[in-house]
Amino acid sequence: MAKKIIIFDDDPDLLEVCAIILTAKNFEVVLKDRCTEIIADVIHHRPDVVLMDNWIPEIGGVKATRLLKSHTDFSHIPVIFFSANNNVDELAKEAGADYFLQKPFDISELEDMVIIAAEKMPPANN
Amino acid sequence: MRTPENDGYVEPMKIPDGLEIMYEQMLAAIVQSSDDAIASKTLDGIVTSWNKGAEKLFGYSAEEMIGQPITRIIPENRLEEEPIILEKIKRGERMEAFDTIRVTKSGELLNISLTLSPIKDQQGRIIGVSKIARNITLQKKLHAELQQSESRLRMAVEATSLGTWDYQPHSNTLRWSNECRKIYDMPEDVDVDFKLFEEHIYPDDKDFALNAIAKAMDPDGDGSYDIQFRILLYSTKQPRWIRSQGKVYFNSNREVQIFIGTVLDITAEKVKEQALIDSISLFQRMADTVPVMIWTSRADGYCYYLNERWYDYTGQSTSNSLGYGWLDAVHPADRANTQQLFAQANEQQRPFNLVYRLCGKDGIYRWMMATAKPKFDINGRFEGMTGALIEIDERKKAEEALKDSENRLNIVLEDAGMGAWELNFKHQETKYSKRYLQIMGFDVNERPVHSELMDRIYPEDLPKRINAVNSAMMTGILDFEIRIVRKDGALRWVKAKGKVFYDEKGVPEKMLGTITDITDQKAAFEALQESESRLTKLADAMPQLVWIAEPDGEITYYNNRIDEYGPAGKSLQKWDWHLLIHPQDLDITIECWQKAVETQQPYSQEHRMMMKDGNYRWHLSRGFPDKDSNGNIIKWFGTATDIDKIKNIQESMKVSEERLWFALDAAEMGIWSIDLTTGSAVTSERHQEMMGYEDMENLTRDKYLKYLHPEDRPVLDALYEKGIKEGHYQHEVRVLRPGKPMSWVKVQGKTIYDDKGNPTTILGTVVDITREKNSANAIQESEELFRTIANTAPVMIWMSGNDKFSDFFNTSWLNFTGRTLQLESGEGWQESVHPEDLARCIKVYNESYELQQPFVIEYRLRRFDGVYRWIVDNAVPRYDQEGKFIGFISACMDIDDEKKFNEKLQASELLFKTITNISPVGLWMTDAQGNNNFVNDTWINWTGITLENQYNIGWLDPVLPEDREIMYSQFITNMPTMQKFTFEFRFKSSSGQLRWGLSEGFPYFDDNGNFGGYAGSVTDITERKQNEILKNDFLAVASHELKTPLTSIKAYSQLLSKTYERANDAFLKNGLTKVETQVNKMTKLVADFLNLSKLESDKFSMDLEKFDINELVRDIASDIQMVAINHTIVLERRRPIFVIADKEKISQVVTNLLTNAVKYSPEDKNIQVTLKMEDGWVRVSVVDKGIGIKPGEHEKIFQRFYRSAFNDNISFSGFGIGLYISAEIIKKHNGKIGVVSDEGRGADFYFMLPVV
Repeated sequence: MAKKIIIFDDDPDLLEVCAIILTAKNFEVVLKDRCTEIIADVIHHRPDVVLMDNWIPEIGGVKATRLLKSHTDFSHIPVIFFSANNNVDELAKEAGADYFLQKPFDISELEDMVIIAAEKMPPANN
Repeated sequence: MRTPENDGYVEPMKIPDGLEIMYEQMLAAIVQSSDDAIASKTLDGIVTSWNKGAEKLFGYSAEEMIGQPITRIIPENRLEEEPIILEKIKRGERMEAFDTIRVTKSGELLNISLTLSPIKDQQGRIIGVSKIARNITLQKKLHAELQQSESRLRMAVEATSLGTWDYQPHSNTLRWSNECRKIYDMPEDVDVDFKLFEEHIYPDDKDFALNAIAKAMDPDGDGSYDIQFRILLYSTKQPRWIRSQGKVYFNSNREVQIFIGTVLDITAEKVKEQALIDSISLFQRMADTVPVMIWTSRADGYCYYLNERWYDYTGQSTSNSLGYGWLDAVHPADRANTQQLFAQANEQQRPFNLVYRLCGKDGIYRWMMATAKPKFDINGRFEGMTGALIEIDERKKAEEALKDSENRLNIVLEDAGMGAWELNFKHQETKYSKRYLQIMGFDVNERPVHSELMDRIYPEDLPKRINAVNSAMMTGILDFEIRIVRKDGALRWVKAKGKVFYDEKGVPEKMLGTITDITDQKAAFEALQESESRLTKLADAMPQLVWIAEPDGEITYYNNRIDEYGPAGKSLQKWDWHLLIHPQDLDITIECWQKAVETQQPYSQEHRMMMKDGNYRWHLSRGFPDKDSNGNIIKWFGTATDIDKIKNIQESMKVSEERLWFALDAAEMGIWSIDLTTGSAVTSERHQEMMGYEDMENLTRDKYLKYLHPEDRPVLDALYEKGIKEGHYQHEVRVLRPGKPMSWVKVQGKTIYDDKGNPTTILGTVVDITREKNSANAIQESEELFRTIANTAPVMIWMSGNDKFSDFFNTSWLNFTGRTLQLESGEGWQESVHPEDLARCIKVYNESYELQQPFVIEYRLRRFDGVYRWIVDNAVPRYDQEGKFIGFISACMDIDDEKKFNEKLQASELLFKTITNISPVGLWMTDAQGNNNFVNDTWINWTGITLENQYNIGWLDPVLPEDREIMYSQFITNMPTMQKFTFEFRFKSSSGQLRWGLSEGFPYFDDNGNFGGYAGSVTDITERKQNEILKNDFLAVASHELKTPLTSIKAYSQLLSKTYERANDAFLKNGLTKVETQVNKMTKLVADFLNLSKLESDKFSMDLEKFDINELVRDIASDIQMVAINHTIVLERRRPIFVIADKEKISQVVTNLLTNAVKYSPEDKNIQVTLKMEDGWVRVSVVDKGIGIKPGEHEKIFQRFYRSAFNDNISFSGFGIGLYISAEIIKKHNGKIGVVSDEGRGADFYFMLPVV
């Protein structure tokens, strides 16, 4: 069964290209340009991995990640925090995310990280 | 006398011959018994009579002289006197009191006074010379002795410098002794009177002195006078102190007869006394008025004196403060230390300085500077400490024995020999006694009436009786002698005497009297008259008054000398002699005469007698009773010899001596004399009293010594020997009187020498000087105390007198100026005052002197080392006992350090305040404990918190709580390191706004290098902070927004590359590669921006590690080489060089330098990279052969956003922030970065880092 990933980002172009890349890696990709209903989204889609942008309406990536990570049922779901913010590492830590990825990135970086996260492998770059 | 048989006169009674002879013998007896030599000679100078006096005087017996020439007794050189004398006598002249010299039988020359009178016969012819010679050798000798005695006494008095004077107000005569004149400095030719005396009383003492004199002369007072006052010298009018003692003698009418006294110059004593008073009051005043608290303690540390200031300040009582009680006022925290230091200083006898807090009466502790010095007595023994605290934060009316005449009558009636009678004028009736009837020739049983009695009077004598009675009605005294004819026809002489009595209205009432049958006497007398007239011729020739008196004392005869006496024009009667006697001598003369009459003993009395000219002259009156065989007195024979000359000498001597004695007595002086040959002493009563002698009879020098203090005896011996040699003798000795306190006496004396110059007698005086001595001792003690205290007091003290001059400077002052008291006295101190301050000082002093007001003045005084130092001079007026202003006393303190410090402080504070308050930044200071003790106005204005509330940690109140805690804990932690620190913090401004502040703190140290605390600033960085935030926010957003599209672009381009990996479209592949390259470049640029932002916001963190820089450079170079395919990067291989740095950031720098080299060297493609070791540094340089950089731009290129001007011609990409970031990174590593380049010749960019 293909692993499911939810990508939260407000840039439709990025959502699209990420979808292309990850679909090619046999991921079932769910795209969201809002993160307010993250719990509802997770309940609905039951993802294996969550890819979360920082600056995303309406509550922002940090808050959304915290919501997820504070939810007993979903705290286990690996979250890759990715952002164009320079301090992505700090933000990821603040949010309680498991992985982080600096934008812009090489697609191979994305692919590798998502695969590792999906297999709940310990983060390689921490 | 009428009788029935004989109507005629009765024959006068014939005086028997024997009686006549008897009178002659009597007169001769007078002559013989006279002390005077009486002789007579013929006109040829042959001696005819020579009495016993002459025998005695000249040594020749009457037998030897009578019939011999008088020239026998005349010295050869005086023989010419005799013819002159005889010539005068022949002319009938008398010679009186002719002083000459005669020679005795033994050849001795005598001073004699001769009185020569002619002797006349019945016919008045001059037949001879009577001569009375009086030996005046004795008189002269006596005179000389008296003079000597007086001069001795005077010498004794003058040895004491005692002036004597006497004043007789009724004649307004004032007499001064020479010594008295000396005291007044009065020349001898100046006449002294009371007015002159008055003029020379010191004006202030005039009322006092004149009142005392008036009081002494007050008839109701005791006449005593003893005062001390000031006089003015005659010459200079300078004041002197004298002690004047005296006594007023009153006459019986209580009128001032004479006022006698002494004067002694006591200026020296007075000065001493005043000095004592001054000294005591001065010390008190000084101690109480100096603006410092003063205390003194004993050697054991017991504090026995604290001045008024101390009590005034502390409000403590004396009992609470003395001893060690004063410590209670010391602050508890300072007490132990103070006590310890005080005890230590006492033990070591050393001065000490100490600062402690002393509790005032208001309960406030103030800091005191305590300075103390040890006191030592004359022998150098430690006496205790004296210290000062300076706060660094003031009669009988004379009874007239008027005896009632009836008493007298009774006496008369008692007299059996007399007939008594009483005649009543009103009734013309006569009472009489039996004896009266017998005398009058009546039978005792008859009772004749008045007229019958009158018939008995011899007719010739009736007028005599009538006159006598009439006279008696006037004078009250009846005295007459008449003849009566008895019934038997006998004629008798009767003497009647009586006295008239008057009624209340003064009308004669009756007369009482006596009658005596004087027939026998009368007859004898009348018979004698003839004989007398002859015999009295000699008497008349006598130079003295000769008189003859009845046995009852009634004088019946005077020789013709009487004419020389008595009130002018008055003929003297028998009992009138008393009119001649001087009133003062009368009583005693009468008494003496009456006594002689009663006792029938010879009479001798000196008295003054009135001469015709009204003057009294002294006479020696002598009387010899001539007794019959039964021892009854028949007559008195007497003489009165003029002795006025002698008497005057004696009298004046007596007066003079008396005056001196009075004077000595008034001066409470004892008199003594020691006979040096016998060693016996004679002393006055006062002397005995003073010396306490018990056995006055046999007083000798040795006994005298017994009464003296043993210590004084040897001294006295030495002085005594010296006194005998030098003639003057003066010592002060202690007298030990049994049962009395020891007293001091001053003994003065003069040695009297005989003709050969051998000392015979010492005469002198003794005065009790215990009081003066005690006072002098007290002065010494008091002065000593004052000087000790004044000199040990650690304040400089000076005093000025009422002459305005300063005459005292204590040791502290003299030590300070390094000058002597002589140099400083008067106006000498002015030389030490700074010339710029002197005029001001003198002005203040003169003004204050006029106003007698205290003053405080600060001036510069030259110290011993020539340095002028500021002192504060705190002067207060001094007053004497009477409250009279007598100058100033002042305490001075060296305030130079304080003054200069204050001046500096004031200047510095002003500067500091001005600077700090106009400073745009807040400023603060803390003490060593971190408590704030200063903030400037800027900070106060910012925060709106008052200065008071800023102290300690109050200044942190406006700081935002979260920042405050961090900041304070960091500050406290940091403080012990004494390192500089900075904080950024937020604080609430006075307007309520939250503002950012940057505080920088620096440690500061005092002059001794001790840490004093922190001083720092607060800069308002709110705006900067806000801009920074804005910028960071902007950069963050900008980079994010730039990166976001880049993310998509990159992803797509990579996706496309991947998708078309296998397609053989070279263009597509190449295009996609370029897109990706550009995306990466873009990504890098954006990252740089963010780095810059971080760099500037201080969020730049350093991740230090040790690494081989060679390796790092090599790795980067190979990476760049891969990209810069058209360039050749040449790198020398070297050994590893280790540095400690942020590896990533250093690689950023290396990358930047290499990419720039590539970028700016489009022509020459060789790039040289070298690493070199230079003195512990590694130098990394990247050399290109490119366009190069103009020298003026070498610095600018490391600045933000700068790019070379060349860029106008040749297009280069980039924002030009690479070098700026590189420079910042290297700076953070404490390294160096730079460029060596010329325009068009390439560039050598390098950086240097310290090597491990």
